[in-house]
Amino acid sequence: MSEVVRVAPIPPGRSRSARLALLRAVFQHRLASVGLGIIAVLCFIAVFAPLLAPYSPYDQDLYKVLAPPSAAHWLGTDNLGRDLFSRLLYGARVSLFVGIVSSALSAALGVAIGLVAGFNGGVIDAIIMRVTDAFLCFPPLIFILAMSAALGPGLQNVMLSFALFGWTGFARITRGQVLQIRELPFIEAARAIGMSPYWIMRRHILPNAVAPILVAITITVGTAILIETGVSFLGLGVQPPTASWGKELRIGFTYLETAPLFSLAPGLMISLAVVAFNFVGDGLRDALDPRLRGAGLVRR
Amino acid sequence: MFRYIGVRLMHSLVILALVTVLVFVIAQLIPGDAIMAAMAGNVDMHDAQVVARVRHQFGLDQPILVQFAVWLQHFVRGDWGTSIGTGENVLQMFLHRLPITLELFFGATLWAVAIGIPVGIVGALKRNSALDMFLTAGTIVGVSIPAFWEAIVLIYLLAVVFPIVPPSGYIPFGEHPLLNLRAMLLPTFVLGTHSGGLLARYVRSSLLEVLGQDYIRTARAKGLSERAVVVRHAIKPGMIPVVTVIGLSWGGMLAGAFFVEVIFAIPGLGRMGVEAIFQRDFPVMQATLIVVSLNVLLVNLSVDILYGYLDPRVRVRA
Amino acid sequence: MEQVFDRREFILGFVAASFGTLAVRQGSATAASGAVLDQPWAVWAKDAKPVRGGYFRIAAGQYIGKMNPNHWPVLDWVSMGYFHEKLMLTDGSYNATVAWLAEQLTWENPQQVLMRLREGVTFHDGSTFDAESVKFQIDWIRDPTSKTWDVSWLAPLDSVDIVDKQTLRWKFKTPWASFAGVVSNVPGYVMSEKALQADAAKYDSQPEGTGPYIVEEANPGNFLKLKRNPNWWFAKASNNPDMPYFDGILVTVIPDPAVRLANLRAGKIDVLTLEKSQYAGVKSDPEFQVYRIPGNHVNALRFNTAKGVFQDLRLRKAVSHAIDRQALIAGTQFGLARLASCIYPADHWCHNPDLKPVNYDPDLSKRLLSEAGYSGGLSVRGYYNNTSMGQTIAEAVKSMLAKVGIDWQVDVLAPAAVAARMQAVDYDLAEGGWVFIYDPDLMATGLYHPAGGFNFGRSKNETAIALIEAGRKEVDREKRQSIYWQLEKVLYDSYEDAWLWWEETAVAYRQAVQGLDLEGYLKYKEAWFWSHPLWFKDGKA
Repeated sequence: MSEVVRVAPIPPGRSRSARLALLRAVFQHRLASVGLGIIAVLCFIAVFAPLLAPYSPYDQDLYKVLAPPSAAHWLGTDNLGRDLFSRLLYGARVSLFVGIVSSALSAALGVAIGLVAGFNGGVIDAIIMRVTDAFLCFPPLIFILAMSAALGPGLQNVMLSFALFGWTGFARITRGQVLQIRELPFIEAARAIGMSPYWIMRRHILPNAVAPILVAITITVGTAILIETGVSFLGLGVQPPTASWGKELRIGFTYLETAPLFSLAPGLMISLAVVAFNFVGDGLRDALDPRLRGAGLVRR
Repeated sequence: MFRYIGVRLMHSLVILALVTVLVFVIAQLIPGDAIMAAMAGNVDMHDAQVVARVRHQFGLDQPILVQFAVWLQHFVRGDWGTSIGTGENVLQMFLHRLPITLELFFGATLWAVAIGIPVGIVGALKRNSALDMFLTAGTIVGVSIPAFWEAIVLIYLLAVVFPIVPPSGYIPFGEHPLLNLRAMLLPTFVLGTHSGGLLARYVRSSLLEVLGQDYIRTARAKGLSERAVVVRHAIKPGMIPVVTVIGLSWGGMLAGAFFVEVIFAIPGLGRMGVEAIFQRDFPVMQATLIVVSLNVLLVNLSVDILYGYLDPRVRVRA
Repeated sequence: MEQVFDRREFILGFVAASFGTLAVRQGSATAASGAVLDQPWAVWAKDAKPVRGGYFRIAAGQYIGKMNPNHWPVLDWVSMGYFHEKLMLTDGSYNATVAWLAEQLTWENPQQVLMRLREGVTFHDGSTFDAESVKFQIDWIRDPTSKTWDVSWLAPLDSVDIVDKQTLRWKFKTPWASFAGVVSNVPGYVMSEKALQADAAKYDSQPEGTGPYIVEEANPGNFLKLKRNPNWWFAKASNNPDMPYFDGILVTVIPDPAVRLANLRAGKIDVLTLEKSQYAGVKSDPEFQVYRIPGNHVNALRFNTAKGVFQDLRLRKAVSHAIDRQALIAGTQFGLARLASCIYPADHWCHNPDLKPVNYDPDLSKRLLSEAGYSGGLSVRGYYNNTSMGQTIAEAVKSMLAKVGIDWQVDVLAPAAVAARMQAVDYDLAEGGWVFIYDPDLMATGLYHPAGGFNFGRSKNETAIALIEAGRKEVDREKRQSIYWQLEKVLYDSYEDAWLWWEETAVAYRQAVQGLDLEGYLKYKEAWFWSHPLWFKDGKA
């Protein structure tokens, strides 16, 4: 999350063709394509879950709990007799939603803070960097767990807790980008002319910083899904009867011996989603690095 | 160099202070305390007087700021208090569990190195081949699978279906070294596959970077076999990030360690810390957070100093 | 990680109830003779040939914590019982009538009891168990500097006076019917005066009790090792000099239930209280003897009758009749539970046998709802604990209530949050019930009396409160029983809570474990358990 990716800065005017070149590079990257494919399928599932699911995810049958797979229930039933397959389909909605929103929130918060730090420099920068470092001293899961415990149950609080920690990586990346770019001649020139810092940020710095931030957002979605799983596994997070993969994994885990599919299936979905987002992020990073594959100067 | 170290040290102290404030804020925000947590499930607390008495005995009826200040005073003097949830002395709990978690980390690191370095080297040498793609995919998968899922699947395959290793439990090394190693085999493996995946990627990219250098081209031009080139000139410089990556990944390992510790019934620090959060066991929770953060801080500091020593540019830039 | 019921029921392990519904009626408070061999449960199978040897291995969800029962927290009462013994024990209907270390109890008047102690009992440190040591212990518990958590259990006590070496006179400030129950519970665990006096703080980790096993090694968080007590008083008193039979007991901490089962299967532990979902897979396994034992807990939903919609009896009835208890038990408890009529389980001496479980009648619920003016639907709030089982039950009930038009907005919460809401009475309908129902007053007060630690004003049934207070003072056993029967009727008729089921537990032993007698155990429970130690076939695990 806190990688600093060295990117060749794009002078103004060349952004559009550079962006196209970027997209092309990503698609050509095989792993990333696979990842994109998986994500597309998952999004499709999430959006069309009501049409795809054979049952409502809330219909219980207490006399048919933990049933093995059958023609009626392709993956069997869960601990309340609900169709596991349908629960998984609907679960895609929650997990993807949590992943994407958490990541976006973290990015929004982190980029803003990083811009302030990088652009202002001096004492403000120093303070912000120390605060970032302090946050990063905590193991992510523990911090988010504590925050979730503090804020209370529910999905919004999980996402908020994640953002309260996840901003750190984005702040670092953004700041790094700003520092790199602001020393360049054309920025100095713009300042000399008297352009407002805000305009400079928007017109010159942000477009160049977008690329590594995009990489980070993609990978953060995977991390956010994993964190939601972890938080749900420990008992916080989504409230019943909503289905999320993390919650299914947690409850399925207690019935591992009697109904292994109950935890294997959500676990598989989670892994697929996280892998897919990591593939895409990986491909993006490879495509962006001008020094040929690998991550250049990387510091986690 | 000394100025550099001095600056870094100062930064670390500031960060430590901020961490302490953060820990306090967390403790402040989390509702309830350990006795109240116990109330929910323990009918020994059936009497309001009992609850009030126990809370008073543990000083939980004081305002949080006071509690924290008192705790901090004792903490820095080495008196880490008593766990409200289990009644043990907190420092004792740490000392008991630290070597266990350390063993887990060391074992995991060994696995990570054993898996990650060869995979990374092969990936770099056979770059962009089918093998490389397969390995890259494998490392990403290794990083993405939730640790607890991997653990459960492995337990059932290797401990119940084919009883190769014990399903769980920890036997102190001092008591029976062989059994201890056998019991730690699976937990360290599960924890190690994650770092192993990461390490493989770093090794690969680092080695690639080294292989792109001029002096490698020179060595090839001199007529050295590819093998000699790689072994004699590329590997050592390529390994530099390994140490730092391993060190830095220890911070992230703690979260994974928690799951591994719970599932394999290993009495380590990770499990203790998270349980403390759930049970609102403030002395344990606060001590764990600070110790863990301190650990990460020290590692970062060491890495910073190391980098500063190795790469003069970093010193100047800072 | 599993909390609340799962953990606690595991902790006690083998608590049982008989399948019969006979309420055991005992005579007045004087036991006939305290001699062990005169007791009805003091019968050992003639043809059984117990063999000594082996370490009995148990898995616990948590480490025991403090080993002084009066210090907070103690997290494993099963292990506690192996090295600490109590003055009295409870019988097959959970009534404290069994003389153990106290040989005889005589009620001189409702505020005074004469207690004769057993002779020939020594603590593990060699000191003698006598009137002086018991008086010291009780005074120690009541001393504020001892920082005990259970001192309020002894609130009605005025003084304990030594009459002679083996006899004490207990004087109470008010009639104290629960006295026998209290000394068969936490304050009744006898501790060595010598050890307490020498270093009370050290006692937490180095206890000196009188039990069949002695603490050998304690590894906090990991295991507890006990070794055989060769001077156990009961061996002599019962003419079974070889007791106890195991060389020792090893309690290993394994927090995860799936891993506990894996350990049982791998032969690394000798007994396990199964999770209900595990029962079906284990019960027919020839490697194990599996017993299905009724448990002394009641699972219920609590109403807030202080404010909100559930002040209306019709709505409480609507909720109670909307729940299909059979289906709940089948689906969430895998059939391992007994339908509950009211608070005391069928085998508890205070259970009113005339009450029947509330029947499932969703049509009645809908009618009552519209009578009360909620034909368009009713929305209520509440909480449940966030363990796996808790969530399952909450979701199942939520779905049943939805079918009759009640939207139960239930939050699934961690324990501290549960306690916070309970204290603030911030709910309409929430998790309820009780675990380990021993003396009837503890639960009745806790749940239905304003001073109760689980009440906080949510329930104020005046008739019930009057009965509860009467039950505290009625020393005559038969009269006391009739008071609690009336209490059940009052609570039942007013649908004070919605009682769902009484507990059942499944326990699996490896075949090598001998000496199990389900019938005897169901009949005498705690008394049987401690007087009939188990052994290994051929003396090894």
